[in-house]
Amino acid sequence: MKSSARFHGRWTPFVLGLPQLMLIVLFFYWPTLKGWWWSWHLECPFGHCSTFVGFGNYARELKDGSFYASLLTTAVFSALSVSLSVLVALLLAGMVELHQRSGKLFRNLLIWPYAVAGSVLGVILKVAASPSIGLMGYLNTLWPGFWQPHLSGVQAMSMVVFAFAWTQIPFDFIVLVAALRSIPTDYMAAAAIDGAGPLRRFIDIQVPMIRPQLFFVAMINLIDSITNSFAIIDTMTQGGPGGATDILAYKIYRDGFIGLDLSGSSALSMLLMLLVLAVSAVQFVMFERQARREA
Amino acid sequence: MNMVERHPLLKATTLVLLMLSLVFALGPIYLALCSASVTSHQILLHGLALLPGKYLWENLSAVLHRADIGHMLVNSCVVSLIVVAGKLALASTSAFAAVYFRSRVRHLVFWGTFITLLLPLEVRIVPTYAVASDLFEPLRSILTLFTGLHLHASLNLLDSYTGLSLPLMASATGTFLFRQFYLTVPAELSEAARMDGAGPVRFFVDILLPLSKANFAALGTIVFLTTWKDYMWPLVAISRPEMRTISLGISTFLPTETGQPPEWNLVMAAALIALAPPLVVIGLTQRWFVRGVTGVGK
Repeated sequence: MKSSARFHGRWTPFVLGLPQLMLIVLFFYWPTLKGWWWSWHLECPFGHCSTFVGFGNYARELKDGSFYASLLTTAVFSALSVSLSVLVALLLAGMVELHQRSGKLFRNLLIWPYAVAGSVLGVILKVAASPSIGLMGYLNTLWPGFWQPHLSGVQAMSMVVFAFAWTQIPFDFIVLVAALRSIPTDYMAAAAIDGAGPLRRFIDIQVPMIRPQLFFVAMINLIDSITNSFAIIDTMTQGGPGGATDILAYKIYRDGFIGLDLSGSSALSMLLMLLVLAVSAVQFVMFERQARREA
Repeated sequence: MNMVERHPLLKATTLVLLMLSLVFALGPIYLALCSASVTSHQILLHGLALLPGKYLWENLSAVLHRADIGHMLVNSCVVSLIVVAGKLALASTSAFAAVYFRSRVRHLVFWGTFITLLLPLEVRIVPTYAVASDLFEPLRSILTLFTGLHLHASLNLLDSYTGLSLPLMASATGTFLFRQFYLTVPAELSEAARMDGAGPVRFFVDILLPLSKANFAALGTIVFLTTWKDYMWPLVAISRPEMRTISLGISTFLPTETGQPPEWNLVMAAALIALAPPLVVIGLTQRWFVRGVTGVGK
């Protein structure tokens, strides 16, 4: 913006920005700093004593087998749920674009799931997946004892992956539909004249053209799957059975609030922060590259 | 697109697939509706209902008459509205500070806010809990560090509306939406305002705010929905049952291992009550909602 369009004054912007900055210092910078401090000290549970232990907490977590198990669980959960939600949303967006008249109706109805909180979906699906009264019960009449999500880690994992992808799809879908609509119609018309059918146009024009938005939703989903899947895990499996769905964010919560191990839980938080920062950095670099290519 | 093409097979296949995906998308809501409208006895005998029954109102009023779900609905509404109001006020003013001034303070406001995008609340949940339980601790620590004085004031925000809503406001998303919007407003507007002798506050109130109506609506919708659906922060910040929000309290309707025979119809009725208000909001504000999703990125 030109500087002639900007106002003078030092105190007005400060006063205007102050409430927001104060809130952020109090609930963002200070807690982050506190977690950082805790991760290098051995703390008594919510008490007033602490000893500096250097890498001690990190070494303890990194030597613990349950950390790697949880890391692997997070990786599996994130990879499966992100690919499922992006893929389904992409196909849905492509199909909706194909239907001019009924497309609007589908577009309106397919975003309804956005209204359902993770915990509410978790409760509904937990009831729906119950071996005794749920929908999967008939599987047990075919193969007795087959459907037991409270005992089988694979079944529990597929349940939470399905549930989490379900909550993410509406967002991906809205973004991808908007992206498809922004493709110039000339491209599609030219391809059609050259004899490319809708399927070929989807694969060779539409998907490549919306690659930035595909990448964007995948990154948002990835960060969400690491941090925001808590409600579904807590209502459906509580990390079980036998740690099969114990993703890092859930382990941090359990260690910190139930195990009251502030130091270990903080060290874990810091490691998870590194993970989230790495993902954000990749996202940032890719966007910069994209912006430069467009410029 | 209007092209003269005929692909009956492709059209038919995709239509079937779309209908199938609609079954998946609305299935959980439909299932909750059906099972909330039959008797507990029927579910225990025949499993979850796949067709609507006759007892929807009975079950809904049975759940609503349990005092706790009324509390939960009120709490969810109050917290969501506080966060919406706070977020709209903070986002519009801080973005104004970050865009419309020459002073370097605008960089401080922008970058200080930008960093919060990188680390979601869920990752720093334990120390945030500690801060909310003792709000003056940062002040005390700084005071002790610089002056050696020991202050004995403390303020516990847990189990309160303030404690539930403030940490949810401390994020950058809204500021970003408004910043992007202000950058698209023609610079001539503020130039003209300055020439006519209007100060920044006058320009903000009389010109910028009326132009931002659509952004307020879009951001307000998204913030309302995400706050309503939030689970983890209420879970740690709330210990008194009467302070629970509905998204948190819904899990208390799941039957415990021991106890009376589970009333699955009431569990589903509670789930239905929990998802109805946000569904109504999406239905009524479809346009703002879609705009907010593409603008806010969540």
